[in-house]
Amino acid sequence: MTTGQSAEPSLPPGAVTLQFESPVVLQDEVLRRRIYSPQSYALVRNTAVAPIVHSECAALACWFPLVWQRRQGDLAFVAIRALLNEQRAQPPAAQGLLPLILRAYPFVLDPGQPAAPDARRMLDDVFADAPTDVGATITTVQRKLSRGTTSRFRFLDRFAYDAVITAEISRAIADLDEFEPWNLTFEIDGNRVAVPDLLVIRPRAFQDGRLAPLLEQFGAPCAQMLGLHRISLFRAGGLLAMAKAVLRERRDMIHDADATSRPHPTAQDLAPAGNPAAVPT
Amino acid sequence: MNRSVPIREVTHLRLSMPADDRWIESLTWVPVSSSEIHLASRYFPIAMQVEKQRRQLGLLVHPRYLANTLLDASGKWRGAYRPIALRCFPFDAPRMSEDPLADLHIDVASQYLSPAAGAPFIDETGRPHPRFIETHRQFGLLAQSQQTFSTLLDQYSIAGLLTPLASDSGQPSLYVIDPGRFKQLDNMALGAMGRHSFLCVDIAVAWLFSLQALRPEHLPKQTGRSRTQPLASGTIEPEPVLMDDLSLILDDGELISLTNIDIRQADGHTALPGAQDV
Repeated sequence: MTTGQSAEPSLPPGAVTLQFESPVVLQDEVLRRRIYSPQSYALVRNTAVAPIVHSECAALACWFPLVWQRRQGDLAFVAIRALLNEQRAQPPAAQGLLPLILRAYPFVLDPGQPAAPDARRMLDDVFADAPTDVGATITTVQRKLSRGTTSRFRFLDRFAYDAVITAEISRAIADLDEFEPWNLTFEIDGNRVAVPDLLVIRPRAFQDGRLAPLLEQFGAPCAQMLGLHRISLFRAGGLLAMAKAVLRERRDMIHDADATSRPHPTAQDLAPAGNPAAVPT
Repeated sequence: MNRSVPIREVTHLRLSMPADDRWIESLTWVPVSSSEIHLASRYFPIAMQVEKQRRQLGLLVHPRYLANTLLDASGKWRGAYRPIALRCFPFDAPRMSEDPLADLHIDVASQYLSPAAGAPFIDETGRPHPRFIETHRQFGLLAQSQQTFSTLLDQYSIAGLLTPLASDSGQPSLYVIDPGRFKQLDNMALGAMGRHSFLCVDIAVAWLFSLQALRPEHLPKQTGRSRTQPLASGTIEPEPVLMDDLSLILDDGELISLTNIDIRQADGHTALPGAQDV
């Protein structure tokens, strides 16, 4: 997303698609690092757009639009968590509802490989800026994976496993030419708020049987993706309301700060122009 | 005993709805329109009602079925989507023509009729008040939708996807889609359901999705595979666990200070156990 209009230095950042910061191989001293709950990391809390897989659609569609995003030639099935890259712009009840890829964080799949079960697991080498707990080491003194690690590996494995079919279904829809752009752009108090490069399935595809071959090929996961994609689009309204609230709160804070930093008006300041005598002294 | 009459017969009265929405709690099920079913599925469990051998698709609205309450403590609507059928209350429309005053029916003894307060049924020229023209239009949407749903319900019945609502006492009249049976549909069957129109699959997915709004005790008993396989692919069962499973619990028993851990082994190189083979 972009927040246009020059503007106030403190405008919230625009929506960003998940991009890991510095993945490193899980070996040597890296295994001695401590990991914290996913919410301890700014990237998890704030990232507005995250890749998802078909098996998590039912839970996520309750709160987020589930659509596709094409960036630099890559087509990804994503959840739009917010229109701004800030946790407060997410629906409050869903701020703890994390897509699988974020539940696995700081463990990630090798970004240099397609997401698949054989993709290498890595650790995103980042600082937990707001730890919610004392954390746990990745491995124990017995060189076994700690439970914190294994539970997150399960999320990562599930993502990796389902990412393959999710990608195949996405490509099949693209091959049928049934995507169209989704212009998720709004003007809020003079700020342009947008999530770019989004795609949705053309409404005409739901009117006839042109998607039937996909159902025959991919079965229930495909039915789930297509149906819940359509249902989830209604959630854009909630995200817009949240973005408005965040931007207006920010605007009000700026106004308040401006007001308190200005010198208190004198009686003369309050006088109507050209009629200083109107102010009692 | 109720006597339902066209509103043409009560135009000397007015529609007077109470300030709160507690009247909704007198309803169990209301019909749904195809134009709203995707949005409504987020808040209301979808259910088929069988009454006088007539099958209709609609929404469960009684609190005993709903996972989340619709009203606040003062009886006001909390803000969920308000279905068309609730906006049409307290009317009925047994037949549809072009005349709202003839088509909209109301119980002549309804507590929502008042001689003085409320909204008039007709304007000063004797024509239907715009509010009731809109109500009539909405009844039209509901009627058209039920025609469309009729074919779909046949297909779901043939496929054995429907099951009586659990914990419903007496003769079952309410049915929901069974997630287990849907999951067992093979790809060819799904393809066949979607061959002429995707609507059949679309509504089935919305129906499954809507079960997240149904209290657990009313969910269909598990058929087929156990629900204790949360990592199975392709499931569209309700997944309430996600909301409660959010704060990942790190194992306190394995919280070991880095200063007390010596993971380096004699060879000075440690690979993560199992890191490459999973």
